Amino acid sequence: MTAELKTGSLQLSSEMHGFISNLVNSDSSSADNPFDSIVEGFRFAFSLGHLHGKTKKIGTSSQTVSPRGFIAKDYEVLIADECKARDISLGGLISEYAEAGLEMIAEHQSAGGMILDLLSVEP
Amino acid sequence: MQLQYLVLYNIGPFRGRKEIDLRAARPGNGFAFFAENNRGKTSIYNAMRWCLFGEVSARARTVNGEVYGGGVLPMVGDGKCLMNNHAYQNDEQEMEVMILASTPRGDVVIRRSAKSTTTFARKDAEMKTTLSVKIGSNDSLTGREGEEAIQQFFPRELERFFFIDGEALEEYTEMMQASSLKGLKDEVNAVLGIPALTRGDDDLSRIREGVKSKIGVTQKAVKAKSKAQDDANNQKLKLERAIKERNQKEALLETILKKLEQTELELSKHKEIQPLIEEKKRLEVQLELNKETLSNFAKDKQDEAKSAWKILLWKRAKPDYEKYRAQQQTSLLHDRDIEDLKSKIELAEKDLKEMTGICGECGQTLPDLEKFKERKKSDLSDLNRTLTSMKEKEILPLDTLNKIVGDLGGLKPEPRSLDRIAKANNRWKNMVDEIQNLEEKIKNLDEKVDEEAKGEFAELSERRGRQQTVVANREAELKIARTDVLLAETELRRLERLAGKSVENKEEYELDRIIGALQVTVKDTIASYRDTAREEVQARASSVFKRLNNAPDVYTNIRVDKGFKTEILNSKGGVSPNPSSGAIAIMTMSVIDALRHVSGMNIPVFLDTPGRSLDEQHKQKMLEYFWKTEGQQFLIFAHSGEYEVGPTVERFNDQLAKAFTLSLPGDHKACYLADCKSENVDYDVASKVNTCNDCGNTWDITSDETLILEVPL
Repeated sequence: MTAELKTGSLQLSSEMHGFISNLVNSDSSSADNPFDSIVEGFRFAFSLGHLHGKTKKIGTSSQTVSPRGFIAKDYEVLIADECKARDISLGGLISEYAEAGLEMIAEHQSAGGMILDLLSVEP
Repeated sequence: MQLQYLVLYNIGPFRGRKEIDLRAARPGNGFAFFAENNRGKTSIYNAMRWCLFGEVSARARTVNGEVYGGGVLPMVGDGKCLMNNHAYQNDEQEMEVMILASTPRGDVVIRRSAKSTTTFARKDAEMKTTLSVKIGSNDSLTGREGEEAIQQFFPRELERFFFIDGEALEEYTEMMQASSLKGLKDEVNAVLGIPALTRGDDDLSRIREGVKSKIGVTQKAVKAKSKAQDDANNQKLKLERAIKERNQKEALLETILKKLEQTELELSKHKEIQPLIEEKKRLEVQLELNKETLSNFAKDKQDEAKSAWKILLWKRAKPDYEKYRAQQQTSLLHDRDIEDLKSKIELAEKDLKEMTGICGECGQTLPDLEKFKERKKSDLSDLNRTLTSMKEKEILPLDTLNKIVGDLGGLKPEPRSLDRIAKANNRWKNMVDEIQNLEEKIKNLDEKVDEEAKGEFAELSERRGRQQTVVANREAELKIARTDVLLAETELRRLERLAGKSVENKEEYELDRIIGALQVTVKDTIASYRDTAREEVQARASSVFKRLNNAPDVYTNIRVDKGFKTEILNSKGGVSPNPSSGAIAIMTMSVIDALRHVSGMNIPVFLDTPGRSLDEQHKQKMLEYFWKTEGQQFLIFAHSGEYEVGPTVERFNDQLAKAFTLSLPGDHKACYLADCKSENVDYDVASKVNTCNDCGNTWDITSDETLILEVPL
């Protein structure tokens, strides 16, 4: 089953890549930044997008996210069927979920919410 | 000292108690004991020496001025001894000598006795000797006190010059003529009284040693004192430096305190803004603390947020996980049921094939075999249908299910992780709010205070802070400087106490000086006295020598040199090369007499065998001289061959105080009693006893007990 799936690469739109980079690189302790690395933020965004079943296509302007510390195969059990159904690689689908998740975070922050409050938001 | 009585008890040949009365109504000073050999002359001579000195020196031999032999004549023993032989062999082994004499200090009674401490004493160690000396009406002195009392009027050192052994006269001569006196030196010095002076010098030396020892201790103390004084001086300098340092510190502290006071004064002018500024300062401190705390909270939040994604994913994955988990359980049962069913089918097929008409279950013969077979076939068909049905069910393989369950299980968050994340997030959020609140308050306070005043106040505050720091430092330095001063003062007081301690004792130095001077005086006195004495001895000996020698024109003088070596000088003042033996003997007697005279001691002279080395003329001259000396008793113990009793008594009658003969009873064919003298004596051959027919006196002529008979003068 899984052997047929492509792993693919992890990407984000330039906009979201900038967003997550700013989030992580902030030195201020008072800034709402619960992630100490881009991978951590990426994993949270993917999980958030997946929970809410939201994906977003990444446009042509994209940037690759370093796969270090993020193994797409670990999430195959969750999204393999969807990948097959949509004929998309694991990395591609994960990236779409992450892109959508980051958008939700951005919106939530814009609305004055804290990132971790999103844990309590039901889909 | 004038002898009065001599009492002998078991001495020599005198058995029992014998009294010799030496008191005389006559003016002469001569005493004579005449006897043949072995009659007891030397025993009397030795008895007196023993009584006075506790022991009797045996005659020594002198060669080239060195003394050999000698030793002590024992009181008891098998050989020659002091105790009477009968008393020693047969009686209680007890002897005694008592001397009664008159001295300037009164009558003296000297009693020395010895008694055996065993049943038969064979040596002196087994004899107990006691001494008793009674002077005047004083209590008797015994033991060491008695010996010391005797020493007062008859020094032991002078024994040789007052107990003169005529048989040893040649030894005296040899010693005097030798280049070194050696053997005689002590006696010569004793005669001159030098030992007393020397003892005095020794005593002074000992005293001075003691004084010098004290002075040594004092000098050490003085040295220590001097060092303490130097240390004290150095310490004073240290103290001065410490005080200067302290004063400087005090001045510096005072300066900064004044400045601080000024700053405080200036600060007081901003009284109204001071609470606001202080509040702001407090809030700023709090803000800093909170920011630090916030940093920690932010880190905690990130740590907790590491599992946040699992919470999100689990919400979606959980139903799948539970579904596959259930399938996993079902799959396990399903496989087991198929296997069971297969076994049943296999068994049923076997039964049907091997059917024999006997019931396989109850063992009885089946009534209708065919009907039974049909029923079994129907059961087998049901089993096969069931198996087919079960196999057709869509259940994932267990391995696949295990992997899915494992993968999904890996997404499961830790229990209560959501709570922990929420708490960390809230804590962080609250701190962010608090910081914002503080920043707002600080901002409000800032707005209330005038910038210029605030700047001035800040500057003053900063200055005050700096000054307070300097004050604290200078106070600490001043405390150290004050401690240094205290320590230096304490040390100085200690050193001054040591330095100021009076250690010099001028009396000790003065005493040392006096003793030193005295010692010099004593030494000078000894040297001077010795030389004076030597000259006196020389003059006296020469005078006597001239009178006694029978060739006064040839042998004119005696020279006594500084070493007390004596020589006979001729008329030309030169040393006589070969003086006659008689002249030499007279020289010796003259020197001995001179030494005795110079000693100043008025002690009887005891001269045993006086004429042994002299010719007849010298013998007569000697008695003539000595029996004329200034009242000093002169006792001779003469052999009948030296001096015949009759002629001697007759010639020196006016110089003799008393004369005695010592004889054995066998010596007398006539009655020996003084008031009898009868020659009418019968001799009994059998009993060997003579009997005086006139007075009845009887005497055993074999007796060895000496008779002491006074010679009528």
